[in-house]
Amino acid sequence: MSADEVYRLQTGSDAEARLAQKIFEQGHYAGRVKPSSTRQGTYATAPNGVLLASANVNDPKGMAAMLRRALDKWNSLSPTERMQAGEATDEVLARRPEDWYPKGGLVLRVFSRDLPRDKAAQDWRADAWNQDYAWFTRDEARTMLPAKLAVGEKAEVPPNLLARLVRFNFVDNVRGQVPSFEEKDIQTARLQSEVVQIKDGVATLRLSGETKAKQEGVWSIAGYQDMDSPQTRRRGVSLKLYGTAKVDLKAMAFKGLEVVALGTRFGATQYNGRTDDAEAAPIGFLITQAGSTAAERVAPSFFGEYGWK
Amino acid sequence: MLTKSILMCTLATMLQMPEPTQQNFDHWKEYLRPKESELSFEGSSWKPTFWEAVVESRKTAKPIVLWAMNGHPLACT
Repeated sequence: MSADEVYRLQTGSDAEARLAQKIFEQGHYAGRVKPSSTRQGTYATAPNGVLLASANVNDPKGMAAMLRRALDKWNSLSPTERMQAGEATDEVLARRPEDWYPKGGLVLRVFSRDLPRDKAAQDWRADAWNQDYAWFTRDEARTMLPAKLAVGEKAEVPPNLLARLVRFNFVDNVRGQVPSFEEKDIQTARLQSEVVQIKDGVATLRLSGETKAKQEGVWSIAGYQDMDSPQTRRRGVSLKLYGTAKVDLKAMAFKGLEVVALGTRFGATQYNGRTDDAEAAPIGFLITQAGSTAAERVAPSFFGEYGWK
Repeated sequence: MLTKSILMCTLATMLQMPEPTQQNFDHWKEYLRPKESELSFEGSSWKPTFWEAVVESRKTAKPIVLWAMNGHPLACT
């Protein structure tokens, strides 16, 4: 089983992308260009690219039915039909964002969720949440800390690093994808770290601050419905932050970080499901230090805007 | 009239908006952290790239399930 980003597979030209495109063009969105050319969904396939079944559904019954169809077709194929004439697996693939994973650096996992409110949704949107990652190199992570790690020492997280969180993670993605903020959209960005304890070779730091980003422009807010008639819109996210981090003094590496960011959001974008929920409302984010599983090495959505070469 | 209603809405939102503090930190942390049931999809041992599944599939002669979304399904989609 694999999970992957569809756009890169749809538009790439290496063996992985070519095989994916072969599968996509036998599937549920084969040949489709309107209202979108996306090929997203779930595909069951033989390793040579013979499609077994596919669907773009999120209900368990629909998914189970698709998998049953796939298994029936798989069982009807001979071993030769299943395996022959696939893409060569020894081709050097195009680089992907995960190749820039900041080993030894600080990898954050950022969850987003609506906070309780009077006008809460009554359907799936009531429990909606999302996640993304934020990457910092080892050198960048060090600059977030006071030069001297002693109780009472303080440091401001460098603006360019905090901007990475504000622009790419503190966005209203609770119900779906959303564009990043631009540098000029940042109105406030302040995060201070202060050493509050040194014990057993570990420094504990308190993190506190606030951020605010606002954007005005012309865009759609209702998926495919208004995609041809974008209008002038505004959106924004304002947050207060509080949390803690632990740093191993010998390794000079983070060994835990948890920050809660609470505040308000307003506005809607094309695919973030706020068409009828654009008024200001409370939103929250939890930032944690990511683990080391394969899934937690997936690149941040906006890695392409990091400027890393 | 419109300005007044926007002001009222903003005021109402501010009244609902909590601020994170040392005292409420654990409460909000657990509220925001996905529940175990919400992360159950991670228990399927997804390979985070399609190609890893292709290579394994050719070795094991088993079919592939590919979950492909706008935005990586294991990150933000």
